[in-house]
Amino acid sequence: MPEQIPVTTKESGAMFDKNSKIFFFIFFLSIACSLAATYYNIMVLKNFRIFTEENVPEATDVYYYVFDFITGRNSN
Amino acid sequence: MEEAVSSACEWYSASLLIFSENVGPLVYYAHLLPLIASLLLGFFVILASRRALVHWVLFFMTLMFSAWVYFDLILWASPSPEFVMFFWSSIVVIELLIYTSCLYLVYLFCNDQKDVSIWTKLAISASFIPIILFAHTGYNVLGLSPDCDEGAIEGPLIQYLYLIEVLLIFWIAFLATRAYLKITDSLKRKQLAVISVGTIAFLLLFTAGNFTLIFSVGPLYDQYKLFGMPIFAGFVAYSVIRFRAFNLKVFTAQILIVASALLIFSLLFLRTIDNVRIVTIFTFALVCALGYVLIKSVRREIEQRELIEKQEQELEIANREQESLLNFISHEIKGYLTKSEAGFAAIAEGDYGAISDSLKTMSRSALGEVRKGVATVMEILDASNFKKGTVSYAKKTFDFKAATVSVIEELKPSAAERELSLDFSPDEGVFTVTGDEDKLKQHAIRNLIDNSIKYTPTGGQVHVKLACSPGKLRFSVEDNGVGITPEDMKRLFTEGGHGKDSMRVNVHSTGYGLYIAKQIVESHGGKIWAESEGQGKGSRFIVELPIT
Repeated sequence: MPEQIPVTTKESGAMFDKNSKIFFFIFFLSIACSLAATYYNIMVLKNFRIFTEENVPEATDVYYYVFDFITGRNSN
Repeated sequence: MEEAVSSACEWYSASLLIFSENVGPLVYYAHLLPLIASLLLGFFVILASRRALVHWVLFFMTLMFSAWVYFDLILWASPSPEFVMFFWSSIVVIELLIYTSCLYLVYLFCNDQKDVSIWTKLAISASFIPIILFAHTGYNVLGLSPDCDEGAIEGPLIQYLYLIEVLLIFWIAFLATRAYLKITDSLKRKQLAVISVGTIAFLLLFTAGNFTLIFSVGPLYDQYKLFGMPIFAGFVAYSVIRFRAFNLKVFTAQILIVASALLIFSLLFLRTIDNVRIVTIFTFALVCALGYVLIKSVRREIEQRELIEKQEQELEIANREQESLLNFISHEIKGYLTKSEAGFAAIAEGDYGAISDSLKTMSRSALGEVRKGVATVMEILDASNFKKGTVSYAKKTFDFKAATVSVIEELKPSAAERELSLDFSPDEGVFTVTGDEDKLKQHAIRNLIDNSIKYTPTGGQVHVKLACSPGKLRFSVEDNGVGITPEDMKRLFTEGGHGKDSMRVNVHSTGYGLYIAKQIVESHGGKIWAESEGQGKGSRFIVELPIT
């Protein structure tokens, strides 16, 4: 039979070391904050456009829209 | 913004955010099947072992993929502009998490399933910085398109995401190739190869789907990218069956049955003809019932296999301990017997002064018995040494015929005692052999002739022959003794391989004689075997050795 590979990562049986735990905490907190900001911007502030046939941007124009961090709104 | 909401596409409302009449069955088929496959894979893996990091990473990846699929279905079904905007923006983060967890998974397989360094984690997570900073902005999703099928108009962050995805695939391929060339353990290499190929295939299909959107091939082609997950699940299942990549037991049978049942069940949504539905429901029930039986039997088989493996290990340990004990006891007994042998020999030879005839007879008889005991113990010790591989040979050139003659001379009294006729008929010429003369004489020639004498009833005949053929000699001992049954023939040359009735004929047999003879003959490049017509019909033992 093939030899079974070890399933634990550390001799102590702990999955991560202390630095990794801190890293993952900050990493997932940042992602959660980013998602929360997205939720607030779209669902609460309703900060998005609904384009019409007249004002729909060309593919290249898309890159010239700038987000205004102070007002929290898109502008061009 | 109320104005914006009211000008959104006039779509039907969706239940559970994803079930809507606006969405065709192909979209559900393309989403729900990979979603279920992904969740099944993830939960089976994590339920199998919650202590292994590699299981958690795979679980997280499948969870992110499921979230992605669910979010994507919301984008297809939801009539709400806010929902479309929010989930469209959020899906970017989820998508990058899928790719990076795949990279983490391959890293673990490259690194003997040990965690990667904090610096590697930081390097991987650096790709998230623009996403985290700009996911909520217009750089991510600008707004809703007037074309309801198109959905949203994406910003430059999406282009960045696609670029990072391609780079991550290259990273995985490079990492896996480098580790594959470096790892020496063939099992780990194979595990890495299967997992890496499965991961790359899954991500390539996903990225290819994204590129159909960039080049406006059509949103329908984008659906096929999700089928990368069942393919990936297939690779994981293969790695489990062939190489035990994850600590999963009945996983394969379970996932096979559940996936088959779901595939059949999903047909209910594609086919609306009533007859087909009835057949489908019947087939679904049958697969569930048979699957239950199969999983149960596989589980039992695995339990039995594990029990056998455990017993095998225990047996090996017990065997080793027994051998060690046997070796120790044999050494100790040999010491006592040797001392007794010397004592009886000294008494019999008159070293302690003149003794009476009766005492002399008793001493000689005791000396003979002690010598037999020494020979028996030596035989056991020799067998033990052969098994351990600690036997050395003092090879030199000698005349095999002369060696045979001297053994026959030694054994003639034993044959005469049992009223047996012992004769030797060699071919003409000299039979020069290169080998350990003492061992060949003692364990091959003597053992075979001695066996024939012991296993031939009084008044029988033992013929020893020596013939020459090109490049080899053929030594044979033939008797008209008890013979060998086909059953005994199978274990004749094995350790302790007694014949069924041999103990009745020769109670002193250790059962190691022929085993030792075979080891010695084979280590001299020769062959040994036995022939017999059956019980009571005599036997013939033949040895072939290369001549010099």
